[in-house]
This record gives sequence, C-alpha cells and structure tokens, in this order.
Amino acid sequence: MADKGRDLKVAILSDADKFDLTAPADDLDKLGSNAQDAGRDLDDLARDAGTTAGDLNRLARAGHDVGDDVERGARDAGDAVDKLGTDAKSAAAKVEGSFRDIAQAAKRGGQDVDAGADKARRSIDDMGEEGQGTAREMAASFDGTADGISDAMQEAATNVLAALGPIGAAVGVGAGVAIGFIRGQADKAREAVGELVGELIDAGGRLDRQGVLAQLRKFAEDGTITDLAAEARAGKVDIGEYLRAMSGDSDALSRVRQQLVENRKAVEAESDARRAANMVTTDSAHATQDQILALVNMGDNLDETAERYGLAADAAGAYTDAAGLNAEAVANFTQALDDFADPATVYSDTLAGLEEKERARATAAAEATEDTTDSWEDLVKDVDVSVDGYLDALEETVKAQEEWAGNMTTLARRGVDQGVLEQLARMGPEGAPLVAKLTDASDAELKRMNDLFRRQGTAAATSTAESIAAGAPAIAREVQEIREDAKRRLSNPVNLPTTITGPGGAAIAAVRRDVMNNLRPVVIPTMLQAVPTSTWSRFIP
Amino acid sequence: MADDLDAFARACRDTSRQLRRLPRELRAALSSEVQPRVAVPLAAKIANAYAGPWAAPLAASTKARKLADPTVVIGGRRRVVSGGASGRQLVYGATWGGGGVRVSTVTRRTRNGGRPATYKAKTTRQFRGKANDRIFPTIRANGVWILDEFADIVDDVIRKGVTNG
Repeated sequence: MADKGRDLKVAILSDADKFDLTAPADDLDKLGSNAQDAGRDLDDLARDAGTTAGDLNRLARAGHDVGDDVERGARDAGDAVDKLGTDAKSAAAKVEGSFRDIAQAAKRGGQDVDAGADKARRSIDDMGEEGQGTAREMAASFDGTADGISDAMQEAATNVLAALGPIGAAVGVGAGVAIGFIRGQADKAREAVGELVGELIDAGGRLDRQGVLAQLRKFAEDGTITDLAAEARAGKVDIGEYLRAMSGDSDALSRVRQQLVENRKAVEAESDARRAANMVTTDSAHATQDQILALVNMGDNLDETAERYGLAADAAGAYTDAAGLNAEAVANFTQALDDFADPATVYSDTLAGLEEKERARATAAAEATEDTTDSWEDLVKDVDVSVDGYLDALEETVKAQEEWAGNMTTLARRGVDQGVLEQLARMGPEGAPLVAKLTDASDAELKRMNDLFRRQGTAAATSTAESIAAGAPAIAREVQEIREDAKRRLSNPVNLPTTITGPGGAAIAAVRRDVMNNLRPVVIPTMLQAVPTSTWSRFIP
Repeated sequence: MADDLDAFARACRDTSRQLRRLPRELRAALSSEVQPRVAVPLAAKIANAYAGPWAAPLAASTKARKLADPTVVIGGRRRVVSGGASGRQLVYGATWGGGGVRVSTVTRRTRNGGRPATYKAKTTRQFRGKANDRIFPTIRANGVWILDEFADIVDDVIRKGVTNG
C-alpha cells in the first residue's frame, strides 16, 4: 500500500506552480505537440476535413489569445471529426477535451495575470504617488515634536516600502504583506529618529532643535534621506550615525570619517588577500571598486558637510556677535536712560547748582564789601534743595529724557543705523541736543551720517559676514536676513510714554519699565536665539 | 505567457516566504482568519469532489491547517477504512493510482563473472488504473477565489493591525 510516510500537504502560495499558474503554459506546450500528433492523424484520416492539423497548430500557438478562439476552434474540430471514423473521433475527442481544458485554464490564467499585472502597476503607481505625497505632507506638517517626526517617518516608510512587493501586488497581497512586514521596521525607524533628535539636542551640537528639524525636513522633502541611507549601507556605516554626521554633528562627523578609513582599509586588505590567493574575478574587482567609490563618495559628502557647517558656525558666530551688539545697544540705551533720570543724580546736580549759585552770590557780595578781608566763604550761606526745587529739576530731567527717547525712536524709525543709535546713546545726556537736531535733519543728511558712522567703525561682525558672503552666498544671505530682521525689529516704533503720571522716582521707574517692556518683545527673542541666558536675563526687569 | 506565469508562481512563493518572516502576532492574526475563510471552505470543496470507493474516507481525512498560507492536508494516521488503511495510505494511490512496475538492477556473481541482472517488481496493485485526482483540479478551479479571498484577508488584518497598533 502506498504510504509515503507523510500526509499530502498543499499550501496554496508555496505550491502555486502546481495549480493554474504555470500549468496552463506547460499544458499549452504539451497541447502543441499533442495537436501536431493528432493533426497528423487527422490529416491521414481525412485530408478534406474542415479542420486540419495546421489549424490546430495555429490555435495552439495562439498562446495568450487561445481562450475563445481555441474553444471555438475546438468545437469546429469536434464537429469536423464527428464526420470521421470512430478512431478519428476518439483521437479528436481527446484533443478537443484537452483544448477545452486548456482554453479555460489559459483564459483564466491569462486574465489573472493581466489583471494582476495591471493591479500591480496601479498599486505601485498609487503607492509611489502616496509616498511622495506623504513626504510632502510630512514636511509641511512637522509640528516640531519627536513624535511628529517618527509618525511621519513611519508613514513614509510604510508607503515607500509597500511598493517593494510587486509579487503580492499582482493579487493584491503584496501591499498588505509589505505594510505589515515593515510595521516592525517602522517602529524601529521611529525609535531611531527620535533617538537621533534627542541625541543631537542633548549633545548640544552645533545644530539646535530647530536646526535638526529643518535638516530632517530638508532630507525628507528632497528624498535625500533615502540616498543617504543607501550610501551608508554601501559604505557599511551605521545609517543613524551617517545622518547625524550629515546633519552637522561634528562628533558624528569625526566618528564616521574614522569608520570610513577603517572600512577602506578592510576593503583593501580583503582585495589584497584575494589577489594573493589568485582569486580575483571581474565581479570581485568591480565589487571592490564599487565599495571604494562608495567610501570615497561618502568622504566627499562629509567634507562638504563639514565645510558647509563650518561656514554656518561662522555665520552663527557672526550672528551671535550681532546679537551681542544689539544687547550692548540695549544696555547703553538703558544706561543712558539711567543717566538721564537717576533721582540721586538729579538731587546732587540740583544741589551742586544751588551751591554754585550761592557761591557766586557770596563772591559778588564779598567783592562788593569794603572790608578787604571779607572772603566769599565768610558770606556764603548753607543751601539746601527744597522739595519743590527738586521736583522741578526732576520734572525737567524727565521731560528731557522723554524728548531724548522720543527723538531716538524717531531716528530709528527714519532708518538711522543701529550702530549710529548706539553711538548716540553712548553720548548720554550730552548727546541729547545732537539727537534733537538730528530729528530735524533731512534724509540725505541722515544717510550721510549713517555712512560716516559706518566708515568710522565697521563692526567685526559685518566683516565676518562679508567674508562668509564671499565664500557661501546662501549662508551669507541667511545671515543678512537675520541681521535685517533684527534691525527691522529694533527699528520698530518703541512707543515710549508721552506723559509722566507721577513725579519723582515712581515716574522714572515707570519710564524705565515702559521702555524695557517695549523693547523686550523686540530684542529678547533675538537674544534668546543666540546669546547665553546670563547675558540677556539682566535686561528683563 | 509561460514566462509571465512562471514569474507569477515565483511571486506567490516569494509572498509565502514573506509571510514566514512576518511578526509572530501578525502571522497568528492572519492564520486565524485564513483558516476559516479560505482553508476550511477549500477543504470542504475538495472533500465534496472526491469520487470512487475512497471518497468518504478521503473526505474525512481532508483537513484545513491553521497557517497564514492557505493550507489543506489530506492524510492522517487514523484508520479510515475497514481494512485498516489510514488516510495517508489512501490519498496517494487514490490520487495518482498504483500498480506500477518497479525496476531494480543488481549485479550477481556467476561463473562467467559479474553480470547485471534486471528484476521487475510490481508495486501495490490496489489502486491500479484508479488514479483519480480530485484535489488539484478542485484547487485549480478555485484558484482565483482563493487568491482574492486571501488578499482581502491580508488587507483586512493589516489594516486592523495598523489602525490598532
């Protein structure tokens, strides 16, 4: 008894070739020879029969179109041979049966394949479009969180990798299977990207969080991330590490460089060993060449990145300098305000003025007396600042301060350079008349003054920015935009208060507070981005 | 067309391989859907298709496996006929027949030296002339339905998994 020792197991997908997939094709081939044989018989039996072996052959060879034609042909063949003898009929019936089976199978198989192929094409096209769309959506909808990135990455990876299953796509399986299959991979990608962002931020590398997001967004937008991953794979370098390096992380840059050197040594050593063993083949030589080219290519990319981020770092430095100057300007302005309106100074100045007046009066009195021994010191009286006098002096000072601040604002609004404003602020109260006069100056005069001040002291940051501009226009443009932005923000109307609501220190404090409150939204965000906390925090009242 | 079909068959095998690489949970989810929706109905169709004296025992020996790849198994060690034959012993003969001739060639030492001798032995004759394959034609006839159903299941399961996951 036939016992093969195991059950008959039929797994549909694994054993697909046993069903209607390759079988119809094989059967068609078989049919071809059967038909030829039968045709010969039929020829012998009835040369004048309606259907000849040639007809059968032609039908058999029709291949893909065998369906209806073959069925029809088979029916014709059957009808024709019905007229023949019993043997011929038997032979023809065999052929007819084969035809009918094959016709059905071929028709079904052909339709399946055609439909499958169309479906596959459509699926892949759809998935490709979806992948691109998702990348775009991902780039546009970054919410700045690590979750946002990894979700988007997962979605993109899912859509792109799903296109890798053309087989299943033929029956609509591939997409689902591939999506399921990469779910695990997508989770890993989520972790890797989250880790990458976290590490870069924690490491306090050159790129801050925004920089990392921007870089990843750029990678995702232009599809570079896929190329970079492929490069890393080709160079046998950790993909995350390579992405980090290409994002400007200097530590990762040096690590990947080191890795590239080691990999290249390994490739060369392997190649040498193969040569020594006389086992070099064309394929192995090409493979070695490809590997080395991949490593060299990665090295070039890293160099380019290092250069780019070096320039960016310089630009950031220049920006920091510029922000520092802004901060200094604010400090000067505040100091100038202090100088204008320090109550103690007002008191002492008032007192000194009164003493001076009294001394002048006593001197005049001494000169007028006949006693030559009289000195002005014998005649001078103690003076004191009355409350009214002090308040009058203070009010005058505060008014002067208001006017000065208003004039500075006017100048800023009329386009006077920040550097010029700083210089004017540094002059303090002594510069107030000049400031007042400048408000009446023409635009041409102000422009001339701007030029003169600029020539007199070109800031180091400017020269740095210019040198960067010469080497890297894009970065320079960015720096310039930042500078322009900062300037624009600083030149916004400051809305200094126009009335003093209370006398004395309270009024002065109010002025200071209002000035700082008006400056804060303008200056602080700029400083927050580039200046250490200790530098800017003291400007917040 | 043969090339297309070969490629298609290869693609199916690749899909089967991919199924084995799926995460275990996903594979289990697929299996539990594929068995009742594809494998069991297919086994029933095959069982109905049997004909001849062994139709009933073969029908009782046709089972659906719980696998991601729709799988039907015919056999088993349980005795299904009065003579004591198991399903496993019946299925091959019933499908492909029996009663063939096995040819053996041995070298026998004689006075004239070594000389090859050919022996012919009859194989089991129980199924001689009774080859009646109902399994593969049934699967072939239901091929399109199987693949469509399987594709729907995969899509459903993956979609559910992605949504819930």
